[in-house]
Amino acid sequence: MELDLLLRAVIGPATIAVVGVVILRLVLGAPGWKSSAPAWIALLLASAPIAAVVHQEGGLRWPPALAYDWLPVAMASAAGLAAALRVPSAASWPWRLGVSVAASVVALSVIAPPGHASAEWRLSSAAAIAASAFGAASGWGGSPSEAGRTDAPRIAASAPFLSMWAVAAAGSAIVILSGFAKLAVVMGALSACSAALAVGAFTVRGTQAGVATSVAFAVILGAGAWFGLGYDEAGIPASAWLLLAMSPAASAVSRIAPATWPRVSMVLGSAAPAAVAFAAVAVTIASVGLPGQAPAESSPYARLTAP
Amino acid sequence: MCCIARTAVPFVALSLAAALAVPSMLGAGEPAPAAVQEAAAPAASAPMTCTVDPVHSMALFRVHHLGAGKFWGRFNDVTGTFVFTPGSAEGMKFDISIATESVDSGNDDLDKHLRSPDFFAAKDFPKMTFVSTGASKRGDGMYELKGDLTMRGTTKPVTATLEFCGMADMGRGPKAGFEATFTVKRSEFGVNYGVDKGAIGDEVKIVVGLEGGPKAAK
Repeated sequence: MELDLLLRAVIGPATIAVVGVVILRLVLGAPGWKSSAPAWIALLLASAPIAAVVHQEGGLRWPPALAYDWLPVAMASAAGLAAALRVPSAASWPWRLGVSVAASVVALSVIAPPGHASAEWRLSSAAAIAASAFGAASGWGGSPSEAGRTDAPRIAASAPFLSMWAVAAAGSAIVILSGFAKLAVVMGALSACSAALAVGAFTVRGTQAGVATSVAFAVILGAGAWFGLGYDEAGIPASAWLLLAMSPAASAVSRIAPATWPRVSMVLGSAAPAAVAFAAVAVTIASVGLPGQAPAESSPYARLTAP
Repeated sequence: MCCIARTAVPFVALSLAAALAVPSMLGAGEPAPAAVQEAAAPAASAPMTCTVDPVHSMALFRVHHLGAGKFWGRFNDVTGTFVFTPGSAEGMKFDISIATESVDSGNDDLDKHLRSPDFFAAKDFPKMTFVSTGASKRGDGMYELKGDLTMRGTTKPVTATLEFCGMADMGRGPKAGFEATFTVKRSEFGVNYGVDKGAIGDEVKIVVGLEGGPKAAK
């Protein structure tokens, strides 16, 4: 069952995403692909977790019965808006901030995780996710000075996606520890799609994350983390969810490296978000431990077998 | 001789008492079967409104797991009211509420998963309810109970086999007990995790044991 689920809800959409990159590159041609890649990739990236939701639920439920049913709407709206605005990598910081705030507000306005749907929670979550998206747009999205470079090594184009892969994988691990397997599969689909796009970026010239993809990823991850917090049954500290949601912002540390050290900048921008996300996993494990086969503490069997 | 006779009287009395007590200690004095009790219940024509005793009531569920074993779990928090007239289906009413948060599989990790939106979505839907819509008698102490089951925001009609288990007053006020058994397809209520490949069965057998009395007992 698990293998079948992984194939259809995680690996399948990721494969379709990378095939989509190849087809779009062929259809649009090199110049067309270079100018529009981030917008298309944002849509492809969002399509994977949406496909995972649809596959698991057997379709989109309308009207939504659970708060969670709004997640695909939030993911689609964030990616759609980020793609539609088409903010170029060379855009100044107010543009990056604007698209980050807009995507976060649009996505978070439609979701209301249980217990965390108050105006205070909405505002603080939107602010945190917008900050994360802005950091991602400034780090993974590429600095203005790098925009339009065609001589960048292939690994430089792949690095942001590899970082996204690690961050979403960490998110999936945290969600599974919270007890919500379906959301873990959704995060897994986001992770697998990022990995597939890393391959796409390495092999297809002009494939880059850009502002749109970075913002879309950060908002989708943030929305997933917010739902994870809302449905958490394990008592994972809110700080772990916040660390996870904010981890894309850490890619902005790439800016501290001098422009003459592009490799250092690339490594910093890729490793820092992964490190923050893994820290969130560490906080989670330290708090709730790893899943085991132990019976409930209330069970007499637990007392009998206690060391 | 006189003294012997006087001493023997208490021994004879004790022996008689012991002879009478032994059968009851061996079980001969247990409550009569439900149907007998139902027929012999006092005030047979008066409907009795009972509040469910949450301590002595529970709901069990059974589902096929990985195509192999039958997995049992339970809900510990069952509340509500029922109305019945001993020996009759006339006016029988059940309004039962189950706290989804109280799901108990005996394993903490599994309980977390069962409370998540993968299954009962306890935070979105803290209660599942059953409200009866009609009842008919099917034999001694046996009834067919129809009603609406609401789970995860979806309401579907279900038909339960209802057994009247007994009624007695053992010093804590009158108590009556019922056991309802029915089967649902969980996918019809949006609980579809693991259904598609049969890893976790779609059909779930539910057994609800109820005990209640005119006053809530704890």
